[in-house]
Amino acid sequence: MILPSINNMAQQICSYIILFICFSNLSFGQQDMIHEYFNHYTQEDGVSHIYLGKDLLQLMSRMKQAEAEEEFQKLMEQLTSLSILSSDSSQLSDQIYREAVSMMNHHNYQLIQQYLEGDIKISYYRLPGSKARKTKELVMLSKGQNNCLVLSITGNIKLEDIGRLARGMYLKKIVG
Amino acid sequence: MSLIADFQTRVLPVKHKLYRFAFRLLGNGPEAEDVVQEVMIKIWNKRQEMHTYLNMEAWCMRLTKNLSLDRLRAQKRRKMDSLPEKFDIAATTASPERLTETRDTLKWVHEIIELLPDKQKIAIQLRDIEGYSYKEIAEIMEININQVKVNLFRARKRVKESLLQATSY
Amino acid sequence: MTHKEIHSYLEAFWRGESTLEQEAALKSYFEEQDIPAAFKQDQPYFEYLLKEQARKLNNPAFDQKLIKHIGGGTKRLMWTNFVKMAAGLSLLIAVGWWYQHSDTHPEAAITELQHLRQHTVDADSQAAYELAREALLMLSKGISQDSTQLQQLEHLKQEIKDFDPAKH
Repeated sequence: MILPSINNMAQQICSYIILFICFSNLSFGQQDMIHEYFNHYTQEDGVSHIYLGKDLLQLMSRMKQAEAEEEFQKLMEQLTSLSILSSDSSQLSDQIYREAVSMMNHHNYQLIQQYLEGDIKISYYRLPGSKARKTKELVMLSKGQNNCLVLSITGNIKLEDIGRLARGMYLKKIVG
Repeated sequence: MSLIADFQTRVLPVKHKLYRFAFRLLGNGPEAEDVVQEVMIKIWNKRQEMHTYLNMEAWCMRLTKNLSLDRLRAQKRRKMDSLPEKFDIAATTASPERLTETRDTLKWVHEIIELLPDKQKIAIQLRDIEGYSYKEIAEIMEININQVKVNLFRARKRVKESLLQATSY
Repeated sequence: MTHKEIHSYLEAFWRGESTLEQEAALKSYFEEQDIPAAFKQDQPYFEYLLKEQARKLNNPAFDQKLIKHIGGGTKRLMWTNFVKMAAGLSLLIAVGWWYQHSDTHPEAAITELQHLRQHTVDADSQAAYELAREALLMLSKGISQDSTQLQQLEHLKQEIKDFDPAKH
């Protein structure tokens, strides 16, 4: 026997879920490179995968935060995903890193920066968007001796907006 | 509710879908149960993952598929190649004459599906039994939608042909 | 459903062109006792599908074995992460499950679902926010050639660890 009030609540939950499903289907188009090429790693022990989808990012862009967070939140609103793959297994790290470099080279990702400090190598790649000066995906690849980290954000991104977070500078020279 | 009680009421119910899937690939209950245990433990170990609602179920099914196929490979019972176009129905245990008995008919269909290549078997399980959409099946099988359709079409075609052959004695 | 509709759905089905709705209609049709001769040869397959759908993992020892393995740890921090994961996996499933078991404590189930959603939204979106913030700052420092990158990388790694304190 279902009480009337519970019926209403259930209906509310169902419509929430239906809305969510519709919304998810709309944002299905753009897959980040971790989902696209590294999905099999997410199931390995010794590998962590964190995925923040569009809905969560939207939620976070509207949360109450300090005023100084405004730029961060504006950016979060524009993103369709934030995905992190990390490993502290020496063997898996080597594997993931090699595959990532090879994959980026083969799929039109542009290397925009690379740094080497001690035994840590950090590389930044971008996947150009359909419009000029827009970036579809920005990837950071970091490789240490026994660990690696892949960070990807997708959306309709302007690199200048990202650069502005660290310093108040425009980066016209990167997206020429 | 305690942590464990929550796991019981919220995560464990999905076990039936995973079990049916593992059972389809492995052909026996105890092994299928082992795979589902492994999957559940992996979910627990990776609980910091922040997947969307839909991705999570596909992730579990995909993991079930991969663990089941790993087991099969380890046992060297089957390969991922397709069978030749015609296979020998006489080699199966159910005989055409007794098809009017329901129990044997179902056994017959089961045997037909058992003999399908893994990809076609999986397509049948995910579409005809679990009712997933092509997009969801593609995500679980890690192939594209066209390949899903091809595998499903071929699988159903073989089932149909076998049933026709069996009923036209 | 008319004879003609069934015939047309079956044709589409064997061609691999049927929709999920048509397939559901066919399954429902073949549950009936009196199937006309024209469809008798299709019947075994649909009967088989129905039977297979009902297959369940019914071993009572299964749940106990699993619970034993994951342990009874009730650290407050682990709860936060588990709630996050459980909500993610199960909000969809829980409603379906609840409908099936609505004769046993429906009110409790709904209250728990409410709490679960609220808890997830409050506690864990802040954790997600901190993580996302450090990730964006990392990217920003990298592409603007900021010299404090390595430091930032350590911050990000710490945020990742904090996201799942059970990993400490």
